[in-house]
Amino acid sequence: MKKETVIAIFLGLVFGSLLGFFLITKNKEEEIKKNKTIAPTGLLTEKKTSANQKINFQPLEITDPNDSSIIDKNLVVLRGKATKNALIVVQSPIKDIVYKNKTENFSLELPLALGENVIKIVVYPEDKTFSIQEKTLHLYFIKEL
Amino acid sequence: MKKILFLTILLFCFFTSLTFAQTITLTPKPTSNEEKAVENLKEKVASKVEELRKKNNKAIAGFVLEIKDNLIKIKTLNKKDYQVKLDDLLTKYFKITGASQKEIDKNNIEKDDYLIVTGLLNDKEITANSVFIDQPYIVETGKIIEIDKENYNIKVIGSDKTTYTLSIETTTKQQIINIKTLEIERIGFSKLIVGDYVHFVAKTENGKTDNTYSVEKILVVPQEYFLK
Repeated sequence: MKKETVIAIFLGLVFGSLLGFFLITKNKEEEIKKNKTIAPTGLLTEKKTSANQKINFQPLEITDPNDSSIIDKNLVVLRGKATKNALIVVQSPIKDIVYKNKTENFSLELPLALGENVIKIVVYPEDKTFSIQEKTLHLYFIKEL
Repeated sequence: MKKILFLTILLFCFFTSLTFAQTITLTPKPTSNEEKAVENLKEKVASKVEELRKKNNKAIAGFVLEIKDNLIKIKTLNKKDYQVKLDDLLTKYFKITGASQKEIDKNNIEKDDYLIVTGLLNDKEITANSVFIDQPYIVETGKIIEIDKENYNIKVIGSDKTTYTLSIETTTKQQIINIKTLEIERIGFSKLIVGDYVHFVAKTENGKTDNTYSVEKILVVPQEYFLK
């Protein structure tokens, strides 16, 4: 075999190996890229969705007045927090109030009857996947002489 | 010797009188500013006492189980027992009827009466400042699961799975929420539909276990609201 032929075969093998190595590496990178792209996108979407839900959902809270409070006048302002755009229904023996809260905070004036006032506050969230929430307050409007 | 003794006594008297004189001189006479300051302090103490009295003044309500001398045992609507300590001189008694209250005698309180007691609450015991006889109400909500059109009754299931049987009387105020305007409108019994949510108010009494009530008023949230 001629010397030139041996060199040509050797160079062919070297270049062939290099090309093969390059192609395999490139292919692997492409696969990894594809995997990386698909997996996190889904996760991020889920995270975003749950974050939005967390932001939208506000459990019913009555910040004022406290349960079993003694009130010395026949009017009380109920202050609290509820999910935005929820329908709030407040019922007492002497008054019914229906209110749609534009923001999370609400403030409602409620007349009181002399004696014990049982007040039921029910929140119907706009997103029907959230459950209905309720709280009961016992307020005492009494005149201690 | 006598002279020395006399001089000693004289000097003693002189210094003693001087000390008393100094003491008297040192005691300042109250000026009008100081009087004002004392008055302010008195007012502050009084308002603080009133504030603390109000802060510690709690209210509980429940049905009378037993009356014994200066003790009344009551049970709340949530089935908690309390002892009410009465004071012959301090405790006052009232009866609430509608929008008025009148003072009554302790002997007017009977078993099964619903009492509101205000005073110093210490765990399961309250030292009563005032005792009021009142009418107890329940205010509840639930979903209509059955309608008895013959007897004008509805069955409602609450969020705690309690089933209530509500008798709709001719005097019952029946209302519905208009889901478009959110206004409250009057309705008749025929408008009630299984699946609607209903808020109701009813008078209650001691020992009621059947959850059957003659209702004072109902407010319906139509199921269409949940289909929007």
